[in-house]
Amino acid sequence: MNSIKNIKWLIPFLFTILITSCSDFLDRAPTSALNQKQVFSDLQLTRQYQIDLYQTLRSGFSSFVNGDFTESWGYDLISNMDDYCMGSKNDNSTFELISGGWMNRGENANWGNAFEVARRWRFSYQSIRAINIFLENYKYAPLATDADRIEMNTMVGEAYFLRAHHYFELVKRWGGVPLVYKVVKASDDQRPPRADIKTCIDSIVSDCNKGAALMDTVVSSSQWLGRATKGAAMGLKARALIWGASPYWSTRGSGISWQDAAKAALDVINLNVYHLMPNYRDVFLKTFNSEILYCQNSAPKNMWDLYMWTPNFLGGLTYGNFQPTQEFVDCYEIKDNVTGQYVNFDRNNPDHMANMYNKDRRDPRFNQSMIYNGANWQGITCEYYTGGNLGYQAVGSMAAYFYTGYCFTKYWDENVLVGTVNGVARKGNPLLNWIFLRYADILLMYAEAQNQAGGPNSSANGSGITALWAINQVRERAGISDLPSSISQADFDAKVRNERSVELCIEDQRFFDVRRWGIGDVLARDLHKVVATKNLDGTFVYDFSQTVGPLRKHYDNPDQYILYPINIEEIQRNPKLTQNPGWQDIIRN
Amino acid sequence: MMMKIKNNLSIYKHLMSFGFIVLSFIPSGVFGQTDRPGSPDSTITIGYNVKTNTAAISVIRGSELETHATDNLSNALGGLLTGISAQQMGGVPGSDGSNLWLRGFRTLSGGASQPLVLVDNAPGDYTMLDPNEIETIKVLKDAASTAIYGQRGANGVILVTTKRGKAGRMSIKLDAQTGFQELVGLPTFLNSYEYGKLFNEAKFNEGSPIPFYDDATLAKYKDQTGNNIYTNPSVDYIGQFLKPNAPIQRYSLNISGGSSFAKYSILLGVMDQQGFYKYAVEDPKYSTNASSTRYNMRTNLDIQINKRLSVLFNLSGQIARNKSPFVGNSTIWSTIMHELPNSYPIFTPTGMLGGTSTKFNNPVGLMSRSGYQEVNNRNMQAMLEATQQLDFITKGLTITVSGAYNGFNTYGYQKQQSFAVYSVDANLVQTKFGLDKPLSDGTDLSNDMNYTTSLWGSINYDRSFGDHSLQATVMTYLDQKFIPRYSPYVNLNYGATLNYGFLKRYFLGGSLSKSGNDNYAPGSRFGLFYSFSGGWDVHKESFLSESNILTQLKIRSSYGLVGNNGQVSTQRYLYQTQYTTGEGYPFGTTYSSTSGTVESQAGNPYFTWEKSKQFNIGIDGGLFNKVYFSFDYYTDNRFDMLASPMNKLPDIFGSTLSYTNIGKVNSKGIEAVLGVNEKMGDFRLNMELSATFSDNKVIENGEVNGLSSNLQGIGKQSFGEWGLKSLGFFYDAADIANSPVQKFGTYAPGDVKYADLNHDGIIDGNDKTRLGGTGIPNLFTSANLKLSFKGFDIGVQIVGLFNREVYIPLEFSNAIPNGGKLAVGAYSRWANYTDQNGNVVDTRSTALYPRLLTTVSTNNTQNSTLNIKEADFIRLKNIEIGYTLPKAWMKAIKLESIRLFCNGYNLALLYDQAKIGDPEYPGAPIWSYGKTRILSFGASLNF
Repeated sequence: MNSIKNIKWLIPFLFTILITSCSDFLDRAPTSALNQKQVFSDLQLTRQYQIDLYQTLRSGFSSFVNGDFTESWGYDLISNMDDYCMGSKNDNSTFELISGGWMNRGENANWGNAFEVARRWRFSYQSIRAINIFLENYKYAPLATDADRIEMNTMVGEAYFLRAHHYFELVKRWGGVPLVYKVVKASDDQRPPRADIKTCIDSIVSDCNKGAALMDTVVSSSQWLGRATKGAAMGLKARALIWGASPYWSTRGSGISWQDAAKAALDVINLNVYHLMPNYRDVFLKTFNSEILYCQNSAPKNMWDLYMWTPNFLGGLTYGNFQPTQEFVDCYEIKDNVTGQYVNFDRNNPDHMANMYNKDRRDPRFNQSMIYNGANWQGITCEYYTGGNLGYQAVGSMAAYFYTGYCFTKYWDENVLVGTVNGVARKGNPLLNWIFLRYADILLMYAEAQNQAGGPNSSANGSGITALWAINQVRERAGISDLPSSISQADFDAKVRNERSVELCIEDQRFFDVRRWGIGDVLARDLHKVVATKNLDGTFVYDFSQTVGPLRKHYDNPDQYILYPINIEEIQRNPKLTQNPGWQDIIRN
Repeated sequence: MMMKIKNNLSIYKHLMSFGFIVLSFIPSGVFGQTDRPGSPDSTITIGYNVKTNTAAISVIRGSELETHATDNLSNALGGLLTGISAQQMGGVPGSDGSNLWLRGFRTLSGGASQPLVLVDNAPGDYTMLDPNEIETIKVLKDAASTAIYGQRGANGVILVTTKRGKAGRMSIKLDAQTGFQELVGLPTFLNSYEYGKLFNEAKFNEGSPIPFYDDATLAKYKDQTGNNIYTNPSVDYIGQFLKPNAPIQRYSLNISGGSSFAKYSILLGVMDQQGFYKYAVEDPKYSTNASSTRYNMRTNLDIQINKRLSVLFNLSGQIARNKSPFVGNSTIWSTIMHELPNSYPIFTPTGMLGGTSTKFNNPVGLMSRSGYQEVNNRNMQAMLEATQQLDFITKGLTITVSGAYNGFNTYGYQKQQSFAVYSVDANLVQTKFGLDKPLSDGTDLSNDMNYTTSLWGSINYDRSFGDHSLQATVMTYLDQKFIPRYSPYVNLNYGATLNYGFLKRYFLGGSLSKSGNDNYAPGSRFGLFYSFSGGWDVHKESFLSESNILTQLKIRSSYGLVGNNGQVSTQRYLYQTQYTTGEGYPFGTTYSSTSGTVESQAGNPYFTWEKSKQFNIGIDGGLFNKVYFSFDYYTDNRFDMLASPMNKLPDIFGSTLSYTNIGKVNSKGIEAVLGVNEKMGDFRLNMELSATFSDNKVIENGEVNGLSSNLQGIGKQSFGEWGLKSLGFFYDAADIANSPVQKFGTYAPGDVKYADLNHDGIIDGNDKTRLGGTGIPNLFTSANLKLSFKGFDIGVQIVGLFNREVYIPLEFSNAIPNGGKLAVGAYSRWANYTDQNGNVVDTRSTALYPRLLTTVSTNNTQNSTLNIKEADFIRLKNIEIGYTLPKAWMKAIKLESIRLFCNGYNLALLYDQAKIGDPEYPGAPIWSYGKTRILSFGASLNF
């Protein structure tokens, strides 16, 4: 009967068990996700994390293809804020920046944030956060062998390089930006001010130096083509320095000289790793070629060629988002019929005009970069005239998309069959590299910087490599005559600028070159198209008087041609940010 | 602000008329005695045997729920319990419950606003219980009663207690009621002739001067004789396919009784609710009509093991089978609400199903030949609880341990069938489209389960020392909800309460709880919650105790901190930084990605629960021993509410935080009850008026700084749609020219004109403002009247909902642009033209809807005060009339009692501001299933 007596303690006993056993019940870790410790204590996961950092490289072959501009990589190109490339008529992003859409409010008062410029800024900082996470945590990954250690060094170097890349993407658009070199936590001060331009460029150069010291000049195996190398970091450094040395920033406290920039470019030349491709067109059609310092490996799904500019009768979808202006076409030199030297194209010269589309006279890159009236493309003669296959009537309402009289074909392979579109065999590229930096650009940077530092015939560090030599390398490969050694410093500079426009067209360079040179007002001029009319005798009359782009509006303030505005909402979130020149007085309505 | 004042005036006006209706029921000069639970004297026991004298609590007995013929108990609570506002969304058999809010909506829009529901102190669902299972429902409203629930108490607590047996002879109660449901709030659609005429007008408005339907065709639509019914049909979809009524029945058998050793209460219940589909197959083995059949069972046992140890054991279950045609209720209703009257004849001359090459939606086919689906739900609850008296330690000490299980399984399947349709041309030639296919084998529709286990224990001390009384509790509580594919959802509470009384006149209360949840960071999972409360029974003071006028008076007040850990999204563990598989990157010359890893969620270690500082002051009183009243004022200031921080967090953070605790909302409200209990001879009366007023204001919601005032959420009510203010319709071209440009697409005279709220000269999305609470009223009122005379009894319930808006679907007027037809609302459209016969049609001054169009006008379909309308209403919600047969007769038939009754639920609208559909939720028939009125009669037998 003892048990019956003791039953009175049963409930208190159960209560005690209940109260003492509950404490761990709240520890329920999620089973599907990994935490930071799990990722960085595992070398394979750490590797994978580092691989995903390359996702932050986004090509100019925009995600426009997918119908959204989210974190638009192709923004700058599409925006065609430069004077040499027009977007399609219904290109929203063009409209957005030009019409002041950067501060337009949308539905639900979510103005600003949805704007392209805001996305570009946000994406850069998201990328920088991802890189900072790696740089703060890679040291926890266990490294068992020397091979592991070498691999890790390379991965870390690449991360420094990628961070420099993203900061440069920010700086070239906004100037000095807030510098974030650690992973910002929810508890940290999330509102740093903008750093000045000198600090920013110094930081980029510092990351490039760290990256270059850790990386080799080539990737460890061909399966890793696309990873960054020592040359990429050195090249990016040269680009950042020439940016700082350029007129706009050197007069605004960058503290960087042309000599600094020239030396950095010379260092890349002296690596002796990169070589110009013999054929200009191959640079864009052959992946990972000897001229590329770094690039983004672009997916076939992007079908850049298909969407961006192909007329539909050639197997495209007629968007024609990139159209060379007549001003740009005029940049291509022409062989003088007397001297045989290539000279600036002059529309007042009847001989130039008569031979403007003459492949044997015009800079060969003209024919290699675009189609025009009478050009041959995929076996078809392009008819850019009323009634022709690319004329204003030929493609109905879509005709409006082909309105300058030219169409870029630079990245478009006309020989490889990749499928059919609208029943037409489509030729194009199974795989493309979006080239961020290539050797020809390095040569032109050197030419520009060294000429500014000491004239056409000077060389950096007494290397004997002259500015003139560098530009002539590029001209010779293109198939046009050398510049004479007698050229003046000023003329040389003008030639370099023209050479950059032609050689690097639609590579996302002109857009920024005009900004670092501080010549944004070239964007404000009226731009023109060519309208061809076919005569009964089969000859053509060309009219150059018509301007292009009813949407091309001009800013009120020339400063607005240089730097991007900071999204007004970002300034509200971080009042320490100061607005860029030209944009401060614009208040939202 | 002006709108608010205007509203309040109109509410006042309504209240007056409302009071009049109720007062007219009160006979003069008859008074009785109060026997209400929760009267000022009583000490109320809430969860875990906690006792309080100072809290704000509403109580009803289960018997009061029996008068409502609805199948879902949540439909009965609004109007019976002061403090609760309810909105019933539709009438789908088996899922026609109401959304409930306790003291209104007090969190941020999108936040968790529902009260915590506990059945016998364990997590559970009371809505599917039979009313005979329920002893009481208590609504805990203030911090004094909810602080013990810690992180889950802030929205209030609904405590359901089930019926237990009483010692004594066996009592058997048999309830049987049967009745029918009717549909309410359906649109009235135009027939083909009317439709055709207005369709021509719509086409005319779009620039087609030649009538789409010529006079000859219209004449055929009008003359539905001969072959016209095939070649030019005019189908009345509601009349043709929906039965005027559908049966509903409920039976329950309740057996209870027991001895001093064991007591029992056993219930068996059946509820069956049928659907309205006229052509559904109604074979018991193979029915395609909508229906819900529910079986309830419960055994509650109390066993007194010895003098000091008692054990409670509950076992209960609900089995529900919900059926519908294969295509689902919403497709059937959508077809009825949209298909054009002239699309096709329902039956061809040879009796085949009508249709066209593109329309296979013949409702006869959908209802009877599309197959069916069936969902079976199984709920089972078990509870074991033991209480030990510890008076051998000290007198008044007890200890209780309780464990419960609540399991849910659902399995649904469907069997599909298809049918051919036949088009009929002008010569009555039929063409077949589609195939007749027999019923297929079944396929799974749903298959899911979850279960919750809960454990609690409490030590209670309850003793009086002379003038002092003391009740104290120490408790612990744990529940875990297991959904197989997720980690369990866990709540863990520790708590203590104290209730002290002096001279039965002065009361002090306090509670403290340490409450935790697994969703938060280690070390930050627990929060401390507390309340202080006091009460003063003024009437017991000598200066009042002799009063014949003021016969009861008590003042009570409380203040405390309570939490709300209900989540805004299903995302859990936001404190954690999480990583997942990334996109990788395609290195090399073949385009194939190497897999990667990315940060998928930036953790916020400060992620925590919403907190609520609640103050309550209340007064309970009685006059002449006949009239009672109760009045409560409360404030609820919330902070740490979940809101997106992305308008505050700069992009340089480099990631997103989905929710952080930045929101703040202040709510306040008033609850008032006025009741009369009268008794004179055989005449008894109880009449009670109650009102719940609640209002809130957003203090911080994370929105962008510097918005124009109309776009600001801060300073406004935290819930409701955003929309434009409609100014009516553009009168003519001059009106358009003189008005700001509207940016929602093209518009012309007769289209909606909106107000330029931000005064920028442009009407766009930036002119939106908060349009008040959609569905949820600021003022919820009710009147309950109970009269009995000899064997007769009558109960009347009226509810009134004020200061609310509802969304009005365009199906009530012109749904042609959205693939629908025209309803009578279309006659209130804007029109201004001269018809073929030279008659001027000009409705510009009276129009309620924009001009008719056949294509979508984005200008006219913006959310605005045109389609989100004020919809106050007063409803005669329930009446029950009963007659108890004289006792004398009972002896002969050896029964304790027989009561016959009839009742009606959702009977009539006494006031309806919007007058479009059913004002509670006009979209119900359009989007799910029409709301129903229920009339039933029955008998209650006691053996």
